[in-house]
Amino acid sequence: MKTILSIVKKIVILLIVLFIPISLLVATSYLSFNSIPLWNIGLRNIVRVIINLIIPILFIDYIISTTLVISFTDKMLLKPLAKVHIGAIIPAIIILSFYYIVIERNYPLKISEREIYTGYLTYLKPESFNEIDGKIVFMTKRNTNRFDVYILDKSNGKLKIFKGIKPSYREERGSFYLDKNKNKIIFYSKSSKKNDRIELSLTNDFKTQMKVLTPINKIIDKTFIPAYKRLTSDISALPIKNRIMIVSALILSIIVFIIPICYLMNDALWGLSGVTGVILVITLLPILLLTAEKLAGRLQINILGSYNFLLLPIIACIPGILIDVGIMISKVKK
Amino acid sequence: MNGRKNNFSGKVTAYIILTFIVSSLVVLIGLLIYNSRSIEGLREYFPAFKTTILLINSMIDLLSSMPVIIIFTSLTCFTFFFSMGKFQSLSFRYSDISTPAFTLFIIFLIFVALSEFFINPFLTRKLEYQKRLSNLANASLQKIEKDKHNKKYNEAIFALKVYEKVNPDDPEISRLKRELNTLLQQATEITRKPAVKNENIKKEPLIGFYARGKAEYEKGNYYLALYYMERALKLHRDNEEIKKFYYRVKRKVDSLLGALTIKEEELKRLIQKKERGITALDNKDYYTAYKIFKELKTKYPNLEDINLYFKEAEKNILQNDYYTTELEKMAWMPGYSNIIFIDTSGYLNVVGKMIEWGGNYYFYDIQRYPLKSSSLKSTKWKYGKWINNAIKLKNKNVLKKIPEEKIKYYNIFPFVDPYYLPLITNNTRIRKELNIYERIKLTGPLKNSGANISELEIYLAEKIGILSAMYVLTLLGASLGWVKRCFHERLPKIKMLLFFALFPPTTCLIYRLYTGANKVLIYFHRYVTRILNIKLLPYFLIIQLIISIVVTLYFLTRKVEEI
Repeated sequence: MKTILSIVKKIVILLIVLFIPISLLVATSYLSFNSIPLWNIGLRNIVRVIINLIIPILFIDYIISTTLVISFTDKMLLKPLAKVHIGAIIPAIIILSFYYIVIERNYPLKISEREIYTGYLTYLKPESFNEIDGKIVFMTKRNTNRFDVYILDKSNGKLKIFKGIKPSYREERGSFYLDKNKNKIIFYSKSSKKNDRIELSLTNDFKTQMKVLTPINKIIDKTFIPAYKRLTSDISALPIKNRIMIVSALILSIIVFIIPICYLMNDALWGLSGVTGVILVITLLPILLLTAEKLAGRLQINILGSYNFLLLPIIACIPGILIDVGIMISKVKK
Repeated sequence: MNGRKNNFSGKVTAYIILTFIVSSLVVLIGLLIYNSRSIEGLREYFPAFKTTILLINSMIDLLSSMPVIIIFTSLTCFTFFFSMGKFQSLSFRYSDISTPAFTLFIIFLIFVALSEFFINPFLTRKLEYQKRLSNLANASLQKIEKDKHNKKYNEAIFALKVYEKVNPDDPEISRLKRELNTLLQQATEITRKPAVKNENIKKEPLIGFYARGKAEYEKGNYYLALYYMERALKLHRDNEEIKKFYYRVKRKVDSLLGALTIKEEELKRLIQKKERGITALDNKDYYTAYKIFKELKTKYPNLEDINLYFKEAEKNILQNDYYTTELEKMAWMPGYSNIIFIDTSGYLNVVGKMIEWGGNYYFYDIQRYPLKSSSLKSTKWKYGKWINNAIKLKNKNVLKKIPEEKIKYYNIFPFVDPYYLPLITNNTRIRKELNIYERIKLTGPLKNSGANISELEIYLAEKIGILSAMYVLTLLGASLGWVKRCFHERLPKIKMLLFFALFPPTTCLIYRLYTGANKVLIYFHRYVTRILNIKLLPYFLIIQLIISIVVTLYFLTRKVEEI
């Protein structure tokens, strides 16, 4: 009992301590991934993003806290391994309860449907040259609510000028308008001449304006991000009861995976090996989930009937179970 | 006791420096391999410059990675090497390794600071320069081939001269020179035209003006005599005899009255105009002198003194002016395209192309838009050259004096030197190429030019953040490495392998997270100012100082017994 409580206490403390840095990291990474510049995003939007992404944040927070605790607790105190699993599961139960009681009931909107508030000032800095969609945009204030905008196309050197246009919430003559659905900013001149309108795409130009984390974009963009989006959309499509089941099963499979690895890397004669264990887990976990997700998608079998949605966590927990069994066998041999 | 300390200090220093060198070499080799495959357009670079470009690029990346290498070095040394048998003696104290290590870390910190503020910008600039030279070498050779094909041998020779300056070690240059000179000679022989005879005053040799003047005076041709004496006086200013005779002739000419012959009339006008031209030259009114002597040169092309005066006026004008033919000759060179900037007169300027060559800057296809005006019209100029801290604009190949009130119309006065104009819309180059001195001097002018440049305070805070990240993480890595050091008699191979495989990228990630956290701190200053009236630098410095002090104390107070 002492072991379990001690592990729970340590994990909870670390959860609280690491919550703010991990929230900021996840929020700024999310914004960067979505090509939203951070230099003028505002604290309120960051808080909104954190609230929107509370579940992945808590998930990452929980993984890092658990791995750190297991890696650095004295190995002599981590016996038996089953109790360690229980100690790690309890904080997960607390988090899931919070998710179900607070979020699911009161904020049923999916993450993708919640908005952060951006305006033209998120993308355009007045009185300086901004680069958007391969064009240089210069915006200078004419009077209180009117701007002169100069747009230079770098590919052909042509300059388009919009004089005295105002920011607007819809497309109208003599204005510029942020179309969030199409991720474009549209400039519309007052006159009705030919070429009186320019659309600039807002994606792909702002990924690195404020680097907090620079991912290896090609790998992450092509593999993990689509897998994450598929997983979250699959889970959110399920009814609430099944959603709780699959999330719980997934967390359990993750616990079953990380505990034995951290236990193996925990070394009384070399404490830093524990840190290696944490890094190993953080590196292997996304690969495990990605592989399990792909395998679950490819296996066209229906062995679990109406619970077939649990195939992914079942596949994910197999490596962990095998390592656990291996540890138990090696202990018995000793 | 001192001997013991020195023994440990020497070993500690040796281990740290060796680990640092080996890590740096491994990173450098990795960067060379990676960059040789991934540098954009490396294959298109001129062969003579490829290696230099690759090396400089890799050196820049290595210096940028220096903080991570240092952090990893401290971690490795304190977790592995300093727990080895060599350090396990009864007399061993933690301060025997912490003190020399701390000194070395401070030296590394100074090196990283120099690198961030001076060395990296210098190397980045060199890299850009090499890339420009490579482009110019490619363009020169293509131009030579094209001009050879089109039989424009003079232009080809000029392109060859440019290529020779850019890549003087190419053995092909002498062969190309010979070939082009031969082709030019052949072409000249075919097209040589007979000399044109001039019916006006005959060409006179420059010697014997005094004798000619005297002879004409005796014949009674006073104006012609004056003309020759003028030239004689110019050549022999200190000769008293010539001076005396000159004034005598002049008095005679002045005293003449009555009808003049047509020829004398023409001569009189010639002399008068020449005098006006010389006066203008003496008064440094070179444009007037140029105009006068250009007219006289056209009418009397064989008069060498007129030609000399003309060239003198032209030479003086060209110190502050230019012919557009000079720019037409260079137009084929690669340069910076579509430069846009605001100038001190409140115009938005769009430059089609800017070329740097021979210490000069040449501009092509310039359009100027007045920012405060409601008109959409622009003024267009074909050519511009950087002269006297301004871009002098022209459309025609004439040397013409600009009236004072129109100088702003015919000149662009940018906020910065032309070297920095392409940087205005390129934040990456601003960030990488400006050293701290330039950043301090040019943040304001670049901002006024329209550059989206961060404030100087933010720049300094970010740099302090980098140094602080390196310092804090190095000491933290060393402390944690020591506290969690390896006590195994035989190092566990798999765990060691995992350590060396996983820790370098993790160190890099943690460093980036720390510098990212610093940026978040800088970002949140705008909210802190709502509660506390504190400027960004002091706010940031205080936080970094507190963290650094805590970490330094933690590092220096570890013990041998501690595990």
